[in-house]
Amino acid sequence: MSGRLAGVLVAVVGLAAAAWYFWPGEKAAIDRRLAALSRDIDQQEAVGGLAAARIASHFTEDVVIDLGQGSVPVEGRDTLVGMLMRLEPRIARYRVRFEDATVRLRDASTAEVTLTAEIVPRGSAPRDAEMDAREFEVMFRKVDADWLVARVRAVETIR
Amino acid sequence: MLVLAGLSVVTFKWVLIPIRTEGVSMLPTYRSDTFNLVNRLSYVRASPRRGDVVAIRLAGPNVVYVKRIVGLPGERVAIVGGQVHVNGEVMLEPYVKHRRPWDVGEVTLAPDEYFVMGDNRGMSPGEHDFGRVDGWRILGRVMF
Repeated sequence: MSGRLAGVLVAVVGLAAAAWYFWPGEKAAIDRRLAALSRDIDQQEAVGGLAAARIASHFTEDVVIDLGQGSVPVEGRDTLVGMLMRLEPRIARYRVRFEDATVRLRDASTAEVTLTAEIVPRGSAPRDAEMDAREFEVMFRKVDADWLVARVRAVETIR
Repeated sequence: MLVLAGLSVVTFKWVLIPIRTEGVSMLPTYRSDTFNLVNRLSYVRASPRRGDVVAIRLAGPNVVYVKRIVGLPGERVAIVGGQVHVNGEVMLEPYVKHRRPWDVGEVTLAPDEYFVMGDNRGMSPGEHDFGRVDGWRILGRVMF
């Protein structure tokens, strides 16, 4: 009996140690992915269509982006690339910063993130362009050891 | 010195949160690019009141909306020709200097919902974030 108890204890300690070692690394990987996404959005004005593909590379092939406010959700990475290319002149006027990101790991291959995206006009933006901020729920999925954005849903903070 | 530094950290991280306002939605009360403080203790013993200018959190406390409370939990709020009506009565808002004829159908606020708006009603309603917000999102009252 005591041997069995010791086994359970060892298993619990082992799981705790694995969680301590494993989870922070995964959260840091998701933080790095968000930082890279923000950086690629910021750098897009110089490289045109390639930028759209580079931005889209942070998303899964079956990504769904729901910006709310009655808009039709963007479904799929290819659709996203097309949309980014169409909107490029407008998107290039702004920078995006992610703030207050909270990462919750659901399991080894799924994570949920809440964050605020700050949309900041660049110097080249029209004079009446304003900073904006929107809250999002983002689901990340691990694909071939990479954390990619699989779902994005805009949160209606004020509705 | 160390105690003073510690006290400052505690005060400005958890009690009086410094904010920088961006945008024109609170004109003329607050201009863009001005600093202010949010008192996180303002609603510890009391509930938010009509007319209070409050900070509303998004995903966290580092980016907030600054809005004025016009409707309290349980009240009926509508906007007719740019005038806010609360429970059928026109609300006097001396802080509003620019007004467009916005029209918003009546909503009844839930037990922990507030109706918030910016003071600049001279904007197009599509460019102005206003409406219902959950009480838990109100971080505190803007001090100055």
